[in-house]
Amino acid sequence: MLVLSRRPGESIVIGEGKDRVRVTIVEVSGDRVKLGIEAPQEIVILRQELCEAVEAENRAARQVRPEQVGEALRSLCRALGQGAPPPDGTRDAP
Amino acid sequence: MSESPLTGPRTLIFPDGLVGYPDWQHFELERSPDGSPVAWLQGKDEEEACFVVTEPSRVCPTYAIDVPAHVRAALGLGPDQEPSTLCMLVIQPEPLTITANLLGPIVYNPDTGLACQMVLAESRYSARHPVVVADAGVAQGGPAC
Repeated sequence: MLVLSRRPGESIVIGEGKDRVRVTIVEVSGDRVKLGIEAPQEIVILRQELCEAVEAENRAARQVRPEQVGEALRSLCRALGQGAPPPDGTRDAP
Repeated sequence: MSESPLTGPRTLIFPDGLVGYPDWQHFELERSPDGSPVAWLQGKDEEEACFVVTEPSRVCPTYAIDVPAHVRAALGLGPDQEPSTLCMLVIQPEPLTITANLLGPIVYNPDTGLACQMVLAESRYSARHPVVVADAGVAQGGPAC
């Protein structure tokens, strides 16, 4: 990992041309650093914990064995108010 | 009125994969024909990549997201075309708990199936929005969503 020391008001630049991203130290207060980021609109900028939360839910949402959640799906369909559950994985439905 | 995203079989292609799983790019949206509120999102690249999905509005009636211009362009959406939106459900059988990932919705072009999973940078939505809570029953449309 590249480690750089910067003072408030100073910046670093990542990339070049139209893809250039500039990160500026706006303020340092105690154990918090406020960053200003200038980047093209198509560059997604996220707090890391948000990505980790979605990734963790993707991992948890994987249903390796659909037959195990059959009853849960029936309960869910009642909760959502209409319709029948999907077959227990249309993969192995008759 | 736009067609429900849970209608009909549909191949979804995620050029960037799912968040944390960039190689999972090809999925089939499989549902039963009886108006089921949920569907299976079955991965074609990885057998284990199988998810239960629903329309976010079914678990959070006021759900609304802003799809940025660059995402709209990546999905090939026309100026007046709205993307379809799905959210994944996490089901834990014992005790039964079901949550919806409203923070990381799937958006896709209903005409082409071009899709991406967004992470909502500035939103109040939870990655674990309660849908069914053990011993508490249904939490649909609760004030927290």
